[in-house]
Amino acid sequence: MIRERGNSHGELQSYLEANRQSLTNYCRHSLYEKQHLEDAIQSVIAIVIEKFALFERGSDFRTWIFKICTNVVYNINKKAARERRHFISLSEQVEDAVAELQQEFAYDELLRHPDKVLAHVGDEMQEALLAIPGNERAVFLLKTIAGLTCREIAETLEIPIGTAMANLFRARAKLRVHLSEYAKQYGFLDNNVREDSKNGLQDH
Amino acid sequence: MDCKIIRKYLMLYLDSELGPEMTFEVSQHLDTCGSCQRLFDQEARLESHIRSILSRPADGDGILWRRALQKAARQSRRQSRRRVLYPAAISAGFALFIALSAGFWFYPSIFLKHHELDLAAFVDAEHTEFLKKPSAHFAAFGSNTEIVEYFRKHLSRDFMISDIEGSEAVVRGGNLCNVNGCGTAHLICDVGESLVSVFWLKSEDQAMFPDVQRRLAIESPTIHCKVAQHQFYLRQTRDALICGIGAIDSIRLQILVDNLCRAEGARNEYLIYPSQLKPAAADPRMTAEMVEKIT
Repeated sequence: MIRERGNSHGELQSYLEANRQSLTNYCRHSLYEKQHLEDAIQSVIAIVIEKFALFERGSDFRTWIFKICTNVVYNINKKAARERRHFISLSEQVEDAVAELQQEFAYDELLRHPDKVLAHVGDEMQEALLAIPGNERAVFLLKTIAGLTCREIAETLEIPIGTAMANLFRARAKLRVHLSEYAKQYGFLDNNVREDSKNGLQDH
Repeated sequence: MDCKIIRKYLMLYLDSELGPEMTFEVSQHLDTCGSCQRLFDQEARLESHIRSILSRPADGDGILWRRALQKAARQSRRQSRRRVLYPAAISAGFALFIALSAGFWFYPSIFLKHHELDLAAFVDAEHTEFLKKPSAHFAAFGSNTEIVEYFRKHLSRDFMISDIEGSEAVVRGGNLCNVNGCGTAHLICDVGESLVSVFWLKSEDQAMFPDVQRRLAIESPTIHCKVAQHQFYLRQTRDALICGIGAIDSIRLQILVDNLCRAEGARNEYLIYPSQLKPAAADPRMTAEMVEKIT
């Protein structure tokens, strides 16, 4: 199906096949409009086919394809005028940001009973993800779905590694808070659990 | 190390993002601290759950992927073709333009030969009109003398009619007509089974026909072309433009017009050679009234 000069098309097909599910899920969870999913995947594949001859053997295909994917998703979201892309550059040390965030967000109750909550999660996960700013969401999805390291994420998104780490932490914390609120709202968790958890942390 | 410090690095430890020393430190602490170990396990479990939810394939993902792949492959093929064809088409167009320009510069006659002349278009319209309504285009001439006198009077020119040696043309009649504002003698000849119109224009009338003027300036004093279904042949003499048009082959048309022009020049007069005005009873295109007028 795919004919390409330079690098063999068999190689390209195997690369695409290996990243098929993660690419699809990444696009699905990044797009505001679900109906753009097929267009996004098609655009990514078309670009990959076109540029594959330029892809350097030995470099990381995942980083390359997710970079393309992020740009395609960003462009599609931008067309819908739903998202702005501005990566926040943190001047502080990552540790400071993490400490600050630990005080800001509390999701201890979710930690105790993740099964209870996540067993009921459906579209709420998607809603929670879309509530996170685009740059943080991109980092989080690249980590969770694509399994990239922070260094690879930083390379993919062309941001400093510290920023990638901070965005990842923020995204995780916000997602957990959102899921906790959802759980409390629908009675999946007991509010008292949170206090117990706080006390436990203060003990140490 | 203090639990608060360890917990700062817990997620980085979970992601295997810490350096070797810090990884060792956190690992050592988790072995000794049950609370931190519990928190780490919870985080890992939650993270694993979230990952499993987000990585779960949706229904129809396979179909969607295959469809997107096919579309992308088609799109890529189209783009590849465009990448090849566009420069080729542009190059070919440019080469053709250069070739045509060079050809027009060095051999203009080749390009002008099949160009529909303005004069040819006018006389073709006149001839076609005649074929539709022959009676309207015939003057009632009783003899050669009358037709000569008629043209001489209206065109202020001398005409002479004599026999054409070896010509198969027979004059049916004639009239004056207006070709693009120029008073023109229009003679109808019967050549074999076809009717041919012959037009006389003054030489200076060529100013009214820029195409003819340009071609006569760069070519021989004859022009041959085809207009619609008719052959057109024009010959320039010293004082006149004589052209014939009709549905006959080009050689016979050329012989007819050349014969008409043969003696022109020396005596500064137009020569109309066919001497006989014959009735055309056998020609279904001629009406009885026309035949009577001609005879």
